[in-house]
Parts: sequence; C-alpha cells; structure tokens
Amino acid sequence: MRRTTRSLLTAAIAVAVLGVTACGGTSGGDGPAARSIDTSNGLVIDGETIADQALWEKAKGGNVSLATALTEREEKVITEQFKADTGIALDFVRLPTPKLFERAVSEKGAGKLSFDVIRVTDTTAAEEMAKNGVFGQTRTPFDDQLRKDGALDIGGGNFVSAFYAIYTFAYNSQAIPSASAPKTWENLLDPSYKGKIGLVNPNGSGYNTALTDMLIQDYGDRYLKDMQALGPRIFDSVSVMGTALGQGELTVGLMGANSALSLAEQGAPVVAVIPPDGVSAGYTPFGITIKGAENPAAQVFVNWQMSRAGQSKLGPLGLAPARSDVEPARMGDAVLPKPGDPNFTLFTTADRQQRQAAVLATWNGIFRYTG
Amino acid sequence: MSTQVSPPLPEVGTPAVGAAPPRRRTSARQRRGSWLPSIPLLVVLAVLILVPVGLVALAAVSVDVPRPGGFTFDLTLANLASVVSGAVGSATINSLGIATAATVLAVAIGGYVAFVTARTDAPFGRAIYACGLIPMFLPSYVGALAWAMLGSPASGLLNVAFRDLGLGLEINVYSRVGLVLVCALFYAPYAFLLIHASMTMMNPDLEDAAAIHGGSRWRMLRSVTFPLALPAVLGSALLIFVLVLENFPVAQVLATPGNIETLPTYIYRMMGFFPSRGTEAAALAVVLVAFVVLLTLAQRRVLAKRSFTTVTGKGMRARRIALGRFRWLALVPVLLYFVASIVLPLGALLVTSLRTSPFMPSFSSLLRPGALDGSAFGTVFADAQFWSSTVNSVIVAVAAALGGTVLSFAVAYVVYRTSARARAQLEAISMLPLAIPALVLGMGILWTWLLIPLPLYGTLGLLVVAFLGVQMPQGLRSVAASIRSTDRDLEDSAVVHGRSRVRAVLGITVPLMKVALSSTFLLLLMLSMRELTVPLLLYTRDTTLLSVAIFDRFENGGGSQSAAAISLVYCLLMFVLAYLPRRFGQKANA
Repeated sequence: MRRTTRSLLTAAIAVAVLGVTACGGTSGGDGPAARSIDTSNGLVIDGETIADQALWEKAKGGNVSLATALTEREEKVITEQFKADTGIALDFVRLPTPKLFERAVSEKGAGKLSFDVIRVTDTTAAEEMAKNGVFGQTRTPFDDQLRKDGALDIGGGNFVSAFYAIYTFAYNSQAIPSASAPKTWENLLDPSYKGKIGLVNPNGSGYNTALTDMLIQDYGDRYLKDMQALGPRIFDSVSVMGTALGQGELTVGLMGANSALSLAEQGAPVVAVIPPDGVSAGYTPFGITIKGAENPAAQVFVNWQMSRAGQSKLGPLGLAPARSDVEPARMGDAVLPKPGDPNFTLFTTADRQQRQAAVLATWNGIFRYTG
Repeated sequence: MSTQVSPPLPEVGTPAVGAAPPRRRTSARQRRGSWLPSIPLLVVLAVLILVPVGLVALAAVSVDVPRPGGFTFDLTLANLASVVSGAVGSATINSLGIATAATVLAVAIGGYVAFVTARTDAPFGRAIYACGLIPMFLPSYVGALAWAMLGSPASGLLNVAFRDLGLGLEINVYSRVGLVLVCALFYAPYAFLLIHASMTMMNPDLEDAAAIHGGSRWRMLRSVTFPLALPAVLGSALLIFVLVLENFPVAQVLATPGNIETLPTYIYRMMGFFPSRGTEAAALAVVLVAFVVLLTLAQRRVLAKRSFTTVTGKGMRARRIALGRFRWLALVPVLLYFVASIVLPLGALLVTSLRTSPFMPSFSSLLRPGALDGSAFGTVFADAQFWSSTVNSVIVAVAAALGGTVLSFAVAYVVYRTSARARAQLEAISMLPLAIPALVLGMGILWTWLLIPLPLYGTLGLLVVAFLGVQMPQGLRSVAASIRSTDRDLEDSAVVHGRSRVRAVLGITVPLMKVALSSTFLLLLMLSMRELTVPLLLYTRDTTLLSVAIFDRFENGGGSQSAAAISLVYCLLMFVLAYLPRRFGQKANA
C-alpha cells in the first residue's frame, strides 16, 4: 500500500517522556490493574466474556507456556495482568524471532513442541511456522471485532495481530537541546548526527522492515544512502541500541515508541518524536500452537489478550492495540497514531508480499551489514 | 622416584601421536589391543559430540537445514561456495588479525606473570599467582560488558573521568585495539596456568649447567628456560587463538558497535536472519574446523623437532632468579594487569549498578541527591527468577563438572594408559568441539536431543549433557596433562599383587591424581558457570541459567543497572565457587 497523504494539520509531537516519569506515572509498569471480574458463569472481565462456562471450568488452575519475541519488560506487564485477572499460571521464554522460529519448528518436527502460544515480531516467520504445522487455529470470541479492525488480515486463521508496534525515532535530550531536536525524518540526515545515529538491522525483524519500507516509499533509496553517508551504528537489537542512546553514545536512534517509553521510564533522557510525516507500523503475529489447542488455559490466554482487558494493557506501553474499541497508544498526555490515521503507515500483507525482498536487498546493499 | 613429565599440550582436532603404548613383550593380538574399554566411551562420545557435529556437517552441504522433521538429503556445495564471498573474507581477516594479536598479548601477559611468580624472587608470590588466576573467574562476556561501560567513546566511565580531569583523552573500546586488549586480558590466565605449570616443573639441572659453563643470566633464560617452556607457550597460544577466534559474546559486545565484522558475529547474523542461513553458517563452521586442524598440525610440527621432556623428582625445586633492585619493579606490570582485568571492570559494574540514570555527564553528577542507590540489588534479590537461575546454574555446573571430570579421566586413561583400539579416535572426537563455533554446535545439540528418544529435552539434564560434550576438550586436556605425568608403576604393582585393574585405578591412580582431578573439576565448574552460547538455544523458562539471565537483561536494554547488579552477584558467586573446592581440599588434606 502506498502511503496515504499525511495530514498537514498533524502537528509534530515531541513527547518529552522524561516528564512522564518525573510525575511518577509509568502506566505500563504500574502492575496489574483492578478489574471487575465475574466468574459465576465463565470468565467475564469488565462486562466482556473471555471464556464461557465450559472453557473456564477446564482452564481454571491451568498453566500456559508462551514463547515470545517481545521484550521481557513488556511481556511481564502483559502476562502479570493476565495472571492477576484469571489466576492461571503462565511462563514465558523470550527469544529473538529467528531463534524462536528454529526452536519451535525443530520441536514440532520432533513431536516435542513445548509452547502453547507464540508471539513473534515478523509475519513471514509466523507464516513459515504455520506452514510447518506449528500453529493450530487461533479463534477468539471477538473475531468479528478483530476482522473489522484488520487484526485478522494476517495469519489465515493460524494467528492474528495482537497489536501494532509503532516505529519512529528518539533522541537523547541531554545531548540535544529540545530547540534543535530533530522533528522530521529529513532532519535525521543532518551532518551533525554523523557517527551518532543508530539503526537496527531489519533482516528478521518485521518492525524494522516496515520502517525501512516506509522510508524508501516516502523518500526513495537516496534516504538510506544519505543515512549510510552519516556512518550510522547498526545494531542487531533495538534494546541494545536504546541503551546506547540512553547513555549518550548515540544522539539519535530509529526505534519503537514502546522502547523509547520504556527507556524513559527507567530514567534515561530519551525523548520520542512523532514526526508529522508519519510513523511506520508492523503487525505482531500471535497464535495458539497445536499443543496449545489441547490446553484450555492457552485458549483463555489468547481470548484474554484479544479482549478489551488484554488490549487495554497495550496502549500505556506505547503499543497500538489491535482493537479500535480500547484506548489508543499513549506517551504521557500525547496520543500516538492509531490504525486508520493518515500518519500511521502500516506495512500490510500486500506490501510485504510485493516489496519485502526488495526492501531487504536494498538495505543490505546500501549498508553492507551482512553477507 | 623420578617421573616423566610432559607439559600439557592443548592439541586440537587431531589424534595424539605421542600416546605411546606401554613397552612390553606382547602378542600381536595384544598389541592390537581390545575394543572393550573403547566401545562404551565411543558410544558416549558419539552421542555427546559426533551426532551434533555430524548434523552440522550435514547442514554444511544441505539445501535445507537438517532439523527434525525436515530431513531432505538434498545436497549442495553452494553453501561452501558462499563462504568465499567478500564479506566472509573481510570478517576472516578481522578475526584472524584480532585473534593473532590477542594471542600474542595474552601469552605475553600470562607468560610474564607466570615467570615472575614461578621463577623469580619477586615478593608476594601467592598474591602474584592470584593476580594471574583470578581474571579467569570473570567471564569474558561480563568483562567485555564492563569494559564497554568503561571505554565506550562518548559515555564510557574512563572517558567521563578524562573529561572531568580535562585531559583531552578519549579511548574507544569499540575498535580492533579494544577487542584485542579485552580478549587478551581475559584469556591471559590460560597462558598463565599452562606456562606456570611448565616453569614450576622445570628441572634446574640444565640451567645450572648453563650457568656453570659461563652463560649469562639472560643467555641462560634465552637458550634454556624459555625454549623449555615452548610447548606450554605454543599450547596455550593455540588454545587462546582458537577461543578468541570463536568468541561470540565479546565480539558481539565490542566489535558490532564499532561496525567491525568478525567470523562469530557474521555467523550469528546468518543465524539471526529470517529465513535463517543455518546451512551457510554450518559451512563456515566447517571452514573454521579446517583452520584449527591446520594450526594444530603446524604446532605439532614445531614441537616434533625436538624433545622438551625434563626429569623431575621428589624434592626438586625450580631455580629462582634474583631480581635484585628490580624485585619490586617486577610487580608493576602484574599490578597493572590486575587493575585492568579485575579492579576497573568490577568498579564499572558497581558504579553502573548504583547509578539511577544511565546518562552520566560527569562523576560530579553522582553526588546529586538520588543519583545513587542500591535498589537494583534489592530488585535482583527479590526476583524469583534470579534465585531459580542461580540454583539451576549451580546444579548444572556441579553436575557437568563432576560428569566431565569422570568422563575425561576415563577417556584419558584409555588413551594414555591402555593399548585399547580406537584410542586416537577417542581423543580426536573429544577435541572436536573446540574447533566448532558454539553457536553452530548449539544448533547440532538442539537437533540431536530433539531426535533422541530420551526425556531430556526441556530439563536441566539436557544442559548437563550439552556441557559434557562442549567442554570435553578442556576436560580431556586438563586430565591428560596430569595422567601423562603420573607414574603408573604403583598401579601396575597392585595389579601384579592381585588387585583388579579397576580397584587399582580407584585406589591408587585416582588418589595420586587428586590435585589434578580437582583442578579439572574446578576448570569445568567455571566453564559451565560461564557458558552462554549453547544454553541460549536450549534453555526453557524452568531451566534458565544465570549467564542467560544476564545476557537477557543486557539484550533487553534499558536495564543496565539491574544487569550490572546481577553481573556483580554472578562474579561473586564465581569467586565463591572457585574458592570452596580449594578450601575443602585444604581441609581434606590437613
């Protein structure tokens, strides 16, 4: 999908996340929120039925094994809320998507799949896992809503998008005064950032592939070439790059809004920018495995994640919920772009099928990071 | 009583040629030896090592990754062809250059500290020995992270200090020089241990002869002492070269930020791609094996030209050189090494674990209210996952060290003390893991234990058996050095007087080798506690190890305060684990 015209009225929102932490409000990391929970007839949270009586009776006291490519901190916030809401035990193993793929497919091949639910950051990897028979059928009571909101546009029934990661850029506010901080994507090509800008290798990361595609679509290959001329530092993980940004080794980094928020909440002088020319967004594949299909507790977790209860935990983390009937992603008082907004550039399935290989080839050719 | 002593040689990848069978009148059948002692060990080593390595080799020539359920046996040479691409070439040149320089520096540091403590009258001998050994207990990965905190170009603590002092200096540890220095600091103890052992066991007669015949002290050192230490120097150099060449964590922490491509980071990236380029990574691993085998052959060629055997005996003591007025000066380089390898890294971890903000413009900012607190330690100790990881690490390390010591002794005994068949094969298989990057071997181990119908997958037992295989080279070399220097006459006498061979081994040889076996146990314990790359592919939530937990915290970013705190606790645990066996050993000997 070509980018839609960005609304000129959309102001540049520089979100001083430090201010958020200074007030002590970390929302995402505050621990499980209190809910209205009714288990008299299945599991009903805040008026929404997560599990009917039959499923709930089988799932109660169960245990879920999750494999995730999400950062530990974010996954903890989400799963702690699930455990608080349901009393169901949940353990997760965190691995980067390519390693998680290797584990899951190898285990499946040997008939020893150990995960009930899988969450990765790359749709192609999830599709390959589905082809290898790792996933079962991922259905929830909210499929009508999810279909309407586009969360079922991926996965062919094997997995859905749990949420969207919003990718933008952030700067170190101790190294750059806010008056001269970058506000647009073009600003990042300023020679003053030479050797001080960081980006993440998009191979194996759907989120970074989406960001690279957006930059190429909007500004052409020359944007990447100009970026390469600045001698950027390239990382394999956005988290490691975030640490370098927080410590001042970098002054600017291309990263997820959720990562910038997380850094700021931990005291780093990192400010995320939502440029008027838009942010990129990528799907987060999430599905029940063939092992999990036999585990009622796993089905309850999938249902919960896609319910309003599970989705409402995402916005405060800087992640865009898949459902439109919950609060959107926020950083402090600022609302981040959401699906459907003109400055929310989603890397759709069609985009991926048409352009992913070319996008990665272009990136690899320009940055010569990998063989 | 005199004993034949050969310095321990870390021979890699090829069978020992020096394992001469006992000289006796034997029948042709006896000379050929029996299969009986070899077969059980061959089976064990085949499962632990050969099958994973075989799967890696198969992957190197396969179109598809040979994971369970995905065997196609579609073979190709294209993977090997990709190894000669330009990017691999530059990674290879970088890796070879860094490994060579780090090896030279590590051997120089280790050799110097060994020489000062073993062969001179420099004061504080035991403290110098500790300075040479202690850096071994600081995992190179944690050392690299600590040095990144010290020497990153903009925010490194040393650079902040230089700015505070107005010195106008800046160091950059994300460079080839930085990599060389950090690798040398944390691999020097290997050279120290081997060269120290060699120098301590060196018979003074040859040096006395040189002195009596009018040779100056320098000439004696140059023509007698240092050449006699050559096997230990070359052995440790080869070991360090291979370990640095394959070291992934240090390269990932220091080379990647400096945009320096190395072979391990290149392999990691191939595995980190989606779709993963596991077959090309396996092909590259095969090339690395070839490198290592060539180096081993070169080492053997150098050493085969002359005999390095010296004779030691009861009461013999290596000659000590009087340094005169340089006695105290000799301590300065040792002290500098200790500061660079222990004091500065642990100091950096401590400061980082106490800092509330990751950004530190100057040291004076630490004086501001709230700039420092110890809450990260509270967070670490309150985390149930930390305790379960610690318990898991200790259980796995102790079990792997015990099992590894027993297995290494069994293999070494069969190889060096019997005329059993397939001794050379036993040794060659045992040394294979040293030549294969752990990243790739870990994949082979994952596939193997998914295929083998034993309920080990997902348990701590899997990590134990994985470590047994991965650390077999170090275990075997450690025991081999000792078994070759332990007299066998007493054991044979017991057998002649009617004891069974097994009872003679357990009752005589094992007690004679008690010190060496406890050293092997300690070495394997430390290696198991440090191991990161292999468990990264095998761990589950219930089997997380402390090394993985630290990696995860650093990789998760933003958590450098708690990561530094957990790293400090980890180092403390390593020191305690290293100390306890010695303490108990001393009590047992008292």
